[in-house]
Amino acid sequence: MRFATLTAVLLIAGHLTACQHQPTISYPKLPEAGPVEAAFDCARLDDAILKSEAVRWVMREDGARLLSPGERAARTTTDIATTVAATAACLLCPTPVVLGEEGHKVLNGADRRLVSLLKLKQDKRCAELPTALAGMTDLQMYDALARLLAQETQKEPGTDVGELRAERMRLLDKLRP
Amino acid sequence: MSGDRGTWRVILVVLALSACTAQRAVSPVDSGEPTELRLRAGDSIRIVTKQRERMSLEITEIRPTELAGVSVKPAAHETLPAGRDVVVPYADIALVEVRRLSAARTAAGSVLVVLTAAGMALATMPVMAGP
Repeated sequence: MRFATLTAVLLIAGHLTACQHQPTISYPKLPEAGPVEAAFDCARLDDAILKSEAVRWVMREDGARLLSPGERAARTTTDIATTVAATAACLLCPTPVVLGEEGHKVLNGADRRLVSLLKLKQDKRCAELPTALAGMTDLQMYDALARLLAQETQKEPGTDVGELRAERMRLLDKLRP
Repeated sequence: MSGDRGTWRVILVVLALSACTAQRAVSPVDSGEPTELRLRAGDSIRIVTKQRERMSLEITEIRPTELAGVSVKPAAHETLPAGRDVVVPYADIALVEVRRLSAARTAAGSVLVVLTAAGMALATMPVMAGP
């Protein structure tokens, strides 16, 4: 009985403190730009960026955020542990509350689509558009985002991936003026 | 005992209801009708436009370049009140989600309900004393 109570307290406390992502709508798959988008002219690229940004905005409004590798691993471990504990405590209980990954995967997909669309825009030498960050255009933001993603991929010693992702979120939150 | 029965009834109703619909969402790449969803009059949809407007609609008409509908009770983060006539050009849609009855989920839900009810019946059946 004590074990069951402890599990319930852990589940509820974990849910309240860590899980801020509450999807209010189904998110579509947002693949990176491919051959279809590569054939777009500048106006259609800007339109595709607006649409993807609107979907990303919904995710952010629902509380999605990028997690550091450590945070993701901790959530996975906690979810497995609480699921095992809940199952052991109560065989008839339905799906236990899980912390999930805060919408990291869908938001990361949206980010990468936006970056790939901005890259196409730069490759086609399209006109730059302002962002909500004073003195930074969308293509200047692309340069900064591309650097962040490259650093994240290279995983050089001393690189704080969590900080890189936080900076990526901060920049893309300001893509629309 | 009657409280337990009431709880189980509520669980069964929730199981039966939640298993009946399925949502599909797409983010249209071009400015035409999002044909992959096969939208039709009567569908309940939720839309996010590229201008960041969010709304829930029941479609009344599928037109060549836009869809017409009537707003329904707003969901979270939506502000458009129910009962408004709305026309949304396909070119403006950034995300559309459609909710439909799902035959597979309904069947699965029914099986689950039957199995749960059978399990409850077995669990609560009085044990007969042997000879």
